[in-house]
Amino acid sequence: MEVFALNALWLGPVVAGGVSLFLSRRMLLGWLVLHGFIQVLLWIYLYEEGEGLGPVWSFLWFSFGSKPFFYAIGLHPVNVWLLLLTIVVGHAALFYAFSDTPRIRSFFALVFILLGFVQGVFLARDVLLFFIFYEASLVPAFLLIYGWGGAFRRAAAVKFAIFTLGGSVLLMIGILWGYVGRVSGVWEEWRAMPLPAGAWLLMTVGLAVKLPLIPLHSWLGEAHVEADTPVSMLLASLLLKLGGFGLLSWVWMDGKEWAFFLRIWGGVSLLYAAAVATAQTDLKRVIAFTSIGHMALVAIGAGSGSMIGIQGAYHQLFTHGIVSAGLFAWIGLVEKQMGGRSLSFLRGIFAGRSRWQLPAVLLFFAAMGVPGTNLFVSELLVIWGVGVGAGWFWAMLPALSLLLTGVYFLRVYRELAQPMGAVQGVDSGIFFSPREAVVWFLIGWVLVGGVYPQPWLELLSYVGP
Amino acid sequence: MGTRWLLWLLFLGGIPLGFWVEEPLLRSAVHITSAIALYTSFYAKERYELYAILYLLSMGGVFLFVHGESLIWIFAGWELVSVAAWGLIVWGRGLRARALEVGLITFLINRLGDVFWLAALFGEGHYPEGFLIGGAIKAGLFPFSFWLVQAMYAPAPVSALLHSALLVSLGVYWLLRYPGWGEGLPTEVMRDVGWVSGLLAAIGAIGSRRPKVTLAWTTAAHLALILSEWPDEAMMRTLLLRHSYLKAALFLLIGVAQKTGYFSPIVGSLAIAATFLLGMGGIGSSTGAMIAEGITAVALGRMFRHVGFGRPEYTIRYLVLIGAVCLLGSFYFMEGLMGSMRIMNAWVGLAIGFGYIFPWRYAWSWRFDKDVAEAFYGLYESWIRLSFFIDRLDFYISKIVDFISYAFLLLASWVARLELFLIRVGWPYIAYNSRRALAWLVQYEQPLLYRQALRWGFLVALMGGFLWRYLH
Repeated sequence: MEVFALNALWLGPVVAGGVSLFLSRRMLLGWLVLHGFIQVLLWIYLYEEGEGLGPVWSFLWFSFGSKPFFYAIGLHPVNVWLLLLTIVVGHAALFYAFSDTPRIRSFFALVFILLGFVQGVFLARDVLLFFIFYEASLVPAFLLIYGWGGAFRRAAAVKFAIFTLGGSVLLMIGILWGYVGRVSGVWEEWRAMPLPAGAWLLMTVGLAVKLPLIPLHSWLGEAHVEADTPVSMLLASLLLKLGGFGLLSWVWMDGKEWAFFLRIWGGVSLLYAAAVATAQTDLKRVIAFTSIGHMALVAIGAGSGSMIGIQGAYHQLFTHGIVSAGLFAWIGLVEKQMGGRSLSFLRGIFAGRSRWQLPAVLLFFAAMGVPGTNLFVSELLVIWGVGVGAGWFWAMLPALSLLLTGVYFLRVYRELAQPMGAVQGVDSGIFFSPREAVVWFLIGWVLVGGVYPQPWLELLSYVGP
Repeated sequence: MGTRWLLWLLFLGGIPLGFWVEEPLLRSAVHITSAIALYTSFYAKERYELYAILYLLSMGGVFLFVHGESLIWIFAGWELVSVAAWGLIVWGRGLRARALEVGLITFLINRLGDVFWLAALFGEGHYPEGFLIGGAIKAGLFPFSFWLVQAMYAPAPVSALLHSALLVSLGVYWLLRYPGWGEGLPTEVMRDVGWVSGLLAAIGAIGSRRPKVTLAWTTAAHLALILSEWPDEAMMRTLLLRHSYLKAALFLLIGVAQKTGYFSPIVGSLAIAATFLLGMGGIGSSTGAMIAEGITAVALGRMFRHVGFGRPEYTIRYLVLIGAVCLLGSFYFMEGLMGSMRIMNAWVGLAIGFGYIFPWRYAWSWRFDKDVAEAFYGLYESWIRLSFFIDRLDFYISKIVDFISYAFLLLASWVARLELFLIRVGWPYIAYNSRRALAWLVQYEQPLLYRQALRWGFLVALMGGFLWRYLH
């Protein structure tokens, strides 16, 4: 049963994607609910089975010379919550999309397949398997950006593909280099000794494209903005996590030696992203650059040189996934209602509409890392980790994130809430829709994770060197 | 009616709950919030549920700060009160342009303090000064008092809340709750900085014309003076609690005066006298601090003169009542008029009189907080400007990347054209001609020239061979 459940966690969505090609729009909704239900059940079963620490399943896939490659998948404290994140955000995005996305069957199929591969990345316990899933996830992501979204989506998709493939080349060379001196690439052996410096650098740069850190971020602004709202949700909350997860799990294992480098890179990236986000006039671009800033915190946590920082970075992967998906969903809602998402166009939409601003305020404050929201916990852990591992001066670097995120989110809020004159309408009531339910669903996760972070922190306490 | 009952519920629940709480600051927070909830239910005309939620949030913040078990929860409490303050300022009088601006400044300056505070909190005791900077910003000590002054835009009960146990006090209270954090701090420097800061804030109080702004300045002055008492924890605790209760009461009083235009001599005098007796009778272990306190007293006296201005005939009654209460209080509560150097009630009486008599309209008005506020706002604006510049940079980076990929595509397209040329023209041409050449080579009837060349070639090779053999 365990073996079945583990495999079904990534094969299930792939099969579901195939099936959804043959269903009508209404049947797709039922299929989505059924699939989500089964996935959650499987996740709960696996979580209960090993209390978040297991199980693992592997067999010898093939061997090349003296190097065996394993098909090894399993649960681990670091991927348990990311698996759930994939299920939650993936199904939320599909629910968000189902009512009016054109070519719905192929859309569902691609998203399901993407979810399967993302689950595979998180589940993989052999570095080669990780790489295979990592590469495979590129194809549906590319097609999703290419096929649905704004006017310049094709250029954005091509750029996304070029960048990610370039990163993958470096990652692949790094992985092959890492095999020198190792018999196999299974989790325990891969992490038992430090990587050679060159392999470390290549893998880090390769994954930094996906994370992304500047100056490798240029694909993100366009891909997130041009993609359709549900695809933006998936990109921000899942695709970026692949980079962060790879960095933390497969590259970052020997603590302090190279921490300095990653800390500085992450810090520069954070300041840069905050500045660019401040200058944006397109709401979606603001959120896109927020993501860069938040993922820079993951890099800083990975380079904190202490276990608390690494735990914080893992936690940040989950929390940012929820928050960014919520923000994109909310912006999609506003865009749908108002017909635009430029700040100058939307100025004053909050005045007199408390229904509109409540989810926005909650999500903005969540992204600002305010207590009571889940991102607060992870940011604090990262800052704490840097303070412990590198000293108080370095701790100011991630702490600056609190200030700078505050600057641009309050600026955006100020624009949106600016009273514009006499006609500040009553609540129109049209705003309520299943899409708003998705936003509130994600906000629920934000608040639960912020008020009661124990289940997350409990598992992360098992994260060791 | 609306949701006013929520605030009454808060009041009815909070008062007994407060007696059950042991920690003094938390108890004062609970009691003050409950009282303010009741006050707000009559003061405000709408948005009761908003007030109730945000009051609860502030109280929760203080609770977390006091009883938080890990550093994360302590910081959560510290931060939560700022968030609640932002909400109260921005939404308290409805969404207005000025409220949004004030909320922005308040929140951002507090976050700036958090950067230092967090570095100190997670720096494992290597950087206690960070607590001091973060605390000074939170408490609104001069030169960071400008946000406190600007936050006076909020309605009176909100100001009362922020200025009592629920926001600014935390900026000093951390020293009492977690004395270990303050271990490496330079006591003498703190004392001197404290009284200088208090003095400047007191002068600011004199210079201000509106009662609420005066109160804001006196808060900055009092908290600085309380901080200068470190490391006398007992004294600081007492003063902080007095400050909390009385500052809340004063703001509520100002709120009443703002609504009605004046307050009755008996209530007003009692309030004023009690303020000076309990709130101020006791600060001043240094001359500078005493002077600062005296000036604060004058400022408060002047403020009450303004408030009572609606009924000039009350002035004499005020003076008599205040003097009597101060005199009696100083004997009963403060060990006699000259019992201790710390008692300044005689001064206070004089100061109030002085505050009434002095022609303040000719006095200078110091608004140096404006410069600091402008500097901070300038910092904010510079960041925005810089962000536009970096955004441009990002645009160019993006364009360079695009250029590289387009150049690559261009190159690829030329290669493809070359390929096409080769396929369409080059290869057929070569193939055709090489076939022709081959055919031409192997055909029987060849041109004369060719045969002759062959013959000559053969001959030359033969002769060369012979020559080579001969030479060797």
